[in-house]
Amino acid sequence: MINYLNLVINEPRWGILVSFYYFLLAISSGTMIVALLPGFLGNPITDKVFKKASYASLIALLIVPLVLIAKLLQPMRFIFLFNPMYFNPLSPLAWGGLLLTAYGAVLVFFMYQRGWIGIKQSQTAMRETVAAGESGIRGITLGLFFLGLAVTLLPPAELIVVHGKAFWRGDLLPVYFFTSILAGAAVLAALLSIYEEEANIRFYTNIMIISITLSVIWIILRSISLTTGGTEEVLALKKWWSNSVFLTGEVLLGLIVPFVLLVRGGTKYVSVRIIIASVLAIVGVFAMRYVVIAIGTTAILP
Amino acid sequence: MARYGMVIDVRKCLGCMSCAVSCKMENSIAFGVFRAWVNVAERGDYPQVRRHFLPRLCNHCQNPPCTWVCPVKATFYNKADGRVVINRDRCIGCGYCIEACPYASRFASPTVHTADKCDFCGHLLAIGEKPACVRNCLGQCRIFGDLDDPNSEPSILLAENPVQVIRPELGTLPKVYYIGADILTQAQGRWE
Repeated sequence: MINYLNLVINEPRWGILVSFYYFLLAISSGTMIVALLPGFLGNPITDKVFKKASYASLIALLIVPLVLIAKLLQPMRFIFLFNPMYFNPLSPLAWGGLLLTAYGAVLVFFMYQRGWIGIKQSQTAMRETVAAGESGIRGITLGLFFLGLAVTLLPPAELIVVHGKAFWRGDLLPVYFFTSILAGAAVLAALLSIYEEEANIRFYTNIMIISITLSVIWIILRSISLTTGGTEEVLALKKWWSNSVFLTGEVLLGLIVPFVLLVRGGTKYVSVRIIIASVLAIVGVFAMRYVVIAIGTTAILP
Repeated sequence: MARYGMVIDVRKCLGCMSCAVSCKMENSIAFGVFRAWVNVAERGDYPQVRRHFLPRLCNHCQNPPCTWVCPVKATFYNKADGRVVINRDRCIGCGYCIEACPYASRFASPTVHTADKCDFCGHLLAIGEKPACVRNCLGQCRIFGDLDDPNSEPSILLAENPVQVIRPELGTLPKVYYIGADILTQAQGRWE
């Protein structure tokens, strides 16, 4: 039994702003992946859904630099990330800067080609542009999907290289960040419900139900794997399961309540139920990111 | 070419904290963060109680995880003297290295908003002096020198004594060695 009389652990640098940054990446990539999923499953992608997804993705992505500036406090040094002389190929963060720029550029180009942003085109001119770039759009669509996947996997790639933190170690972590798909489905389900568009909302709510189920399975598997680890893993497990944000924000509000609202039968207030479930699921995805950062940075031994 | 490192003979540590204080004064370190510090713990039950001191600082690892993750190569292993150093003019303050350090030796400077940590008092080394914590150690338990020089004081101590490092299982190859830190050996380089 050790009784610490003086124990110094320098404060972690990452906190709520990094959690928010990861959350924005989840919204941006998740909406695009989920919007494109029907196309990959052989179903048509409706333009209304695609437009909403593109705007949601772009808005979330545009907030990212603001969050990073607020965190770094040195906005001018941002450009160092794009200096080839300083580029560290071993750092996921260095690749992340390029990835987010590429994702943003492709997204903006895609929206411009569709006539959703930029100079207002006449219907005829827009049809001509779309027709001229038809093959290109298919390529861009595919590019957007895979770039979105890469953006989804950026946060876990940044975390799993940190071997000194028990909660971030292990092959299971990247799987959990596929909750971006839950966030994306929730954003689209909420937007379609708010705008009262019947564009296959069921498809998005089903994705939410599947994602919630997979999240619960992941939490159980991760808990079991932590119990089989050393002292640091057990400490992480204790901190995780005693964290109020995890229990209330992620599990209760983010997983259980949306699941109940979505699987509950009846035709009354369906839209309201979907909107509430979606908003809560989005809150849960943010809580999940916050918990991963909070537990990862604090569950360390002296 | 040198490979600076430190041997800390815990048997001589008084727990006086002069290393922590002198480091703060020498390098103008803000309140609440530390480049050098001493962890203190008691183990056992009365009357078999023993107090343990563990002076801490950056381990200047030969295989430093903090340098792998830096997106702009602002922190690097200086091959000329074996120190892990930070280029503060280039550091963007992302904190990735702070999270990657398994020893919590790094912190975000509250004044300049970049990563900060022990650099073995590089400005003193440049004029041929030893780091402030070494110079001011009351029990002379911190021994600093070139580990590549077989006649240096730390090299002799390493050759003559069993030593421990903190968390060897991570493969970071720390260059701060401990003599007599038996509290570490019981749990593979950790206080548990």
